[in-house]
Amino acid sequence: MVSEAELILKIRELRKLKPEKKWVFLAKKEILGEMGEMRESGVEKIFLPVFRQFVEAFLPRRLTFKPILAFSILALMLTTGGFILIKNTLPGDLLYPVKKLTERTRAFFISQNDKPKAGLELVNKRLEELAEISQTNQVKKIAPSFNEIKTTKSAAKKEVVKLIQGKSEQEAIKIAKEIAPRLKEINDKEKQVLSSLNGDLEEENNESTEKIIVEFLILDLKNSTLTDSQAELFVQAESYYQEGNYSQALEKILEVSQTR
Amino acid sequence: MDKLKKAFANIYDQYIDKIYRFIFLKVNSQETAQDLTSETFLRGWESFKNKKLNNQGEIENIQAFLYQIARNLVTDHYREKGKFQVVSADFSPIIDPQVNLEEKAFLNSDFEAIRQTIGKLNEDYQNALIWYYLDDLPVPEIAKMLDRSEEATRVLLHRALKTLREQLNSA
Repeated sequence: MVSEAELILKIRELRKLKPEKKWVFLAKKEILGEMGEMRESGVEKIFLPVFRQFVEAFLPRRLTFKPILAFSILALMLTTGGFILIKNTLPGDLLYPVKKLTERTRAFFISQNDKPKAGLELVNKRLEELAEISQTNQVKKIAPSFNEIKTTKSAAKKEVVKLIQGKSEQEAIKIAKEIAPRLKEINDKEKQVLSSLNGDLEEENNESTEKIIVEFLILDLKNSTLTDSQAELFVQAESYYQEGNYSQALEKILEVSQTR
Repeated sequence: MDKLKKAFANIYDQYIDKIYRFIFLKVNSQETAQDLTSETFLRGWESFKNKKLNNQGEIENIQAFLYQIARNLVTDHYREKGKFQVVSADFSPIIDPQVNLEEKAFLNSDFEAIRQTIGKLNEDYQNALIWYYLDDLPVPEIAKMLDRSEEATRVLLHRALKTLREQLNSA
């Protein structure tokens, strides 16, 4: 005889009933249509606020009210070798905001479809910065660098999810296949760099993007013909997925792809 | 319009799992649950949008509003289809894949029994159990949605649980 307490626990197990993710995406798209991008009209809406921040950071206050003069100084810096200086700045450096500014300006002109890849490339750059900080023992820059990586990674992953949402299953699978190798590359690099620092990024929800990518890749492989060794790797991938170990699942899936 | 869509998209993300589960437990078919859930949010979006565009204020309790639409759709569904419950040919309830295989095997038998038995209870018992034990809604909120007093709702919950227990034990 089931006790009341046991019954309540069993009822609560029904919380595991969930709709299929791909259906959730498609239904949302059907109901709300294309959400469209919240595009900012003109370079100014992205460029100016960041530019103003840079100007106020280290140019004399009187110049903040003279944007033409401030802009000319910036242009002079960029064209007289300042460019190289800015490119090699690290988180915590005075000119680092200028480096971020040029990256954001460049990002404005990237198409929506290319934003996820560009975002992941930026994460790669942030990790390279951290590697350099670690090698040169610039301890004070570690914390700002960690923050930069977290922010850039979160933004890149949001772009991935945004691109996949609302796409058909085939389109989503195609995107997942393009993104997967880059994601693995970043995971590997992150492990390598962080191990030298005994650090941890402590991200929230850092696996949700991997989960979505792995789900679509599993879906693709389920509909494919696999050899015995590929099937074995696929089973391992599914097992990791079910355990919630999405980065390992991703690795196994990529191994399957490499042997095809 | 983009702002409205974004606001409703957040509502969709917040309630899609709950509304789907609510409907699924009543209709016992994945396809039907998907159709009725889509329809629920479509109607919800139309009302949400029209209220905002016509400056008619906001929907006071969006969750209750969506549940009411879902309840009405399920009632209409049964009215149209008669008393026969349609079970999908490739029915398999989607369980969170994070549950490991061994646990899943054990859960499946109990899971199925509870799911099916809840589906056979009367509507008020189903609603009370789902809202209280699955969605963690407080009694006052459930009482409003059922249009009953709080005391009557507590009695209803007690009876629903008792009936479920009796039916499970007799199975």
